[in-house]
Amino acid sequence: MKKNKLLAWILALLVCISLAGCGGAQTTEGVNTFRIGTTTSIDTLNPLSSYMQVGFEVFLLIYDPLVRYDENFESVGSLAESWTSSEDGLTWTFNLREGVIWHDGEPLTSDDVKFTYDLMMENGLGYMYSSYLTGISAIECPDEKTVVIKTEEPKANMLMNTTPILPQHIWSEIDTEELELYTNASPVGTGPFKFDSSSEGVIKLVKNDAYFGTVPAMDECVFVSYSNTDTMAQALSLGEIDGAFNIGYAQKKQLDADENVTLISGEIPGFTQIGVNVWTDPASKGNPLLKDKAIRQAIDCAIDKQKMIDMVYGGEGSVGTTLLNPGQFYHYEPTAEELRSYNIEKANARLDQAGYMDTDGDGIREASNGSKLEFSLITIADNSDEIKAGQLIVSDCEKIGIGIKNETMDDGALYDKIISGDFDLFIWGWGGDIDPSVILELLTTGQIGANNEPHFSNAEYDALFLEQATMMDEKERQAAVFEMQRIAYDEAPYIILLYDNNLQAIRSDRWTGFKQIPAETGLFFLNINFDNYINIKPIVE
Amino acid sequence: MHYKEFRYRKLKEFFRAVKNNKMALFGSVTLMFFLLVAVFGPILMPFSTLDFGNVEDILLPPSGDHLLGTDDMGRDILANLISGSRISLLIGIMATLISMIIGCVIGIVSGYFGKRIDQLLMRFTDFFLVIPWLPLMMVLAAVLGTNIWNIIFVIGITSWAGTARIVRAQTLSVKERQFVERTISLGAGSKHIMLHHILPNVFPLVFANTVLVASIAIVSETTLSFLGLGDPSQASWGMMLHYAFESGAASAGAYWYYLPPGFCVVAVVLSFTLMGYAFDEILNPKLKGR
Repeated sequence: MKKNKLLAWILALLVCISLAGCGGAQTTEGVNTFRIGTTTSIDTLNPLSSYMQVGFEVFLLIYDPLVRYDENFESVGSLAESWTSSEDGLTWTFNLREGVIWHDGEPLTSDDVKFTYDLMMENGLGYMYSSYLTGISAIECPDEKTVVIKTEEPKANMLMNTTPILPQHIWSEIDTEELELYTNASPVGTGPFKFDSSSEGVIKLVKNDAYFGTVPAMDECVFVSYSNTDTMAQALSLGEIDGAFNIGYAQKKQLDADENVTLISGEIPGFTQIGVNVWTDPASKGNPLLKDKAIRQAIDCAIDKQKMIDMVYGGEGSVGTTLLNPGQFYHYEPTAEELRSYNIEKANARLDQAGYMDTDGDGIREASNGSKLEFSLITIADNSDEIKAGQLIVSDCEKIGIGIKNETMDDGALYDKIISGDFDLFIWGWGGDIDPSVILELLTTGQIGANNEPHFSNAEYDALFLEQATMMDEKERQAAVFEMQRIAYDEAPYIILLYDNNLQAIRSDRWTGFKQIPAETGLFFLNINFDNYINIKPIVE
Repeated sequence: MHYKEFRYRKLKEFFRAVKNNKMALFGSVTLMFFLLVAVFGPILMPFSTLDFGNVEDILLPPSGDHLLGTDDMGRDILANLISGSRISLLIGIMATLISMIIGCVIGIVSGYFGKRIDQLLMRFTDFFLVIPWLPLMMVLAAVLGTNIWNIIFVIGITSWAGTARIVRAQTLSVKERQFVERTISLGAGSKHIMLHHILPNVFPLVFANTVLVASIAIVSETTLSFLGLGDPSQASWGMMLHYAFESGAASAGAYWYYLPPGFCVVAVVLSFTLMGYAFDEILNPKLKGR
């Protein structure tokens, strides 16, 4: 009897939940709402401390930078209407657009630009944007509509500086100590969308009719976060959401077959890699054998990356080699001699040659001092793709006499281990940008203790990094960036497994006007461009 | 009657009672089946989480080659299930042992000495009794790291409170009996009394309770693994369910992936539970006919 009662309560609760769910899916008369499913909820609405993908996307719509990328990833004016640079390339003058107003009605002035950049640079905040601002030495505002930016060296990525501009009249009210934890509960920007509300993983934006550029065709844009990719795919099929990104590879087949859904797979800047502890400091708690690049190269050579992509990533993505994505102008393709494609014999030969032999016949090689080539590989517990990739790596390395033990933990625990150098190998990924500095900076000595997880340090690499950031000639910069990638590939502190693809979809039975950016190979969303949010319009029957 | 002979007769009685009790019989037979599978299965059908197939082997439905189909990495599900039984049962039984030992020690010591010690130990037990065990297990598993021994430890130390309570209650009653008083007057020490006189008398109760704890331990292991806190190098049933869920087997219609491990967990937990209730009934005559 008691159990039956409990069951009845559960059923009643389920009915209530599903009824509530139905209520949410209805659209109000005359208002068209575009709902986008994501797999992560936003960490904070504060652009100074957010470091999540969704945050980046939301700020792209609420705030405007001086310049934006167009659909060919060329820089075009946003808040800046035009700009000039001095002969020596050390002084840049940006002329701001007339009549731009903040969402609360205040006018935008050049002081807002100076205030935002100073705020981020002085306090070391704005994690997602910090690499855009490096090299700036002074900002001046000769009048309300002019911003003069000075640098000590030429700044190659000046026109890739897409830092969102924040309103001084709101942010100057906040104490410096409180900036990082400020919730920014109701963001005010100048962008094409105004913030409306945020609750429980749902962020609602409404179009800004006063926008200086093209006003969005959709009335509302809502980001809905899902904790599970399967649930998100079901929601898309059922029409509870109109689009989605970060769709799971396992749901590809199902959504491909759905005629109401247009599913695309495009390369997203960045990669998934094995980070190797190469820290030479005595404080390193990693296995010292990994400081020998012969072992790192052999592991790289022994991993069947194409099979990994096929088995784990649903065939989406491409085999990883150097730091920058193959589609990019700055990508360095290793020569046939340098290239470490999948080859067990070559990997075995590399280890033989370096003197690692299996002397006791247990299938694991030993160094001359008798220590075994056994390493631990840490993966993040809730990333099942990377866990599976880790299992494939274990079986691949077995074939060359290297023993790998899989471990999982949550990302916070892994991060702590990485910072303190207490690991052998781990898997995670990085997201990149059009500007190569973002990714290249990771392996610089200055980033040890922050983003340089392998604790890699190479004087030549560091010098080239500083140099390339000042090279205004694209060809010259490309040559420097190529050399950096060659060094990183040869030293192999990262074993880049694959360049990930992102699966994204839109309900094409309800919406039209969307396109892949860049054309054919690109993405709908997460592409540092907001065209789709502006241009997608509902199909009126 | 000699002491040992008395014990032996009791044991025989016990087995007869089990044979006559349908619940106990069903539970024991099912459990015996799984134990045999766990012990001998992996020898007949070896499996490792690293036995990947190729791309064309992914999520194949049941067929002659793969009696229960394949999973999202092209591994044979039957072989995985059999090897998983060893891990799931090992975790269940080991965790139960830890729980039983902690529960017994705390229960007997608390009941026998009483007073301050009792107060102290029982408040400690209450703490573990009321604490929400699932979040506690999740936090512990996350902090300690995910390997099979940590999971055994975590389940063991979060599930002993009930046993300790029961053992204490029974100890309170046993220690007032005449034979204990006699032993004390013969000069026996506390350790001797607890080990040789109280423990044997509370043991039948502990036994019945332990069998019930085992079913909880197996569910806990499944829960932890399903939530992604299991040992990724061990293919327990919970891990199978976890991978099945993560790979979207449910919406892909791959029932052969998530049904078999789910069924096995239910069958083993059910058999432990039935046995637990039946033993309780057999060993505790007051409950007969309830």
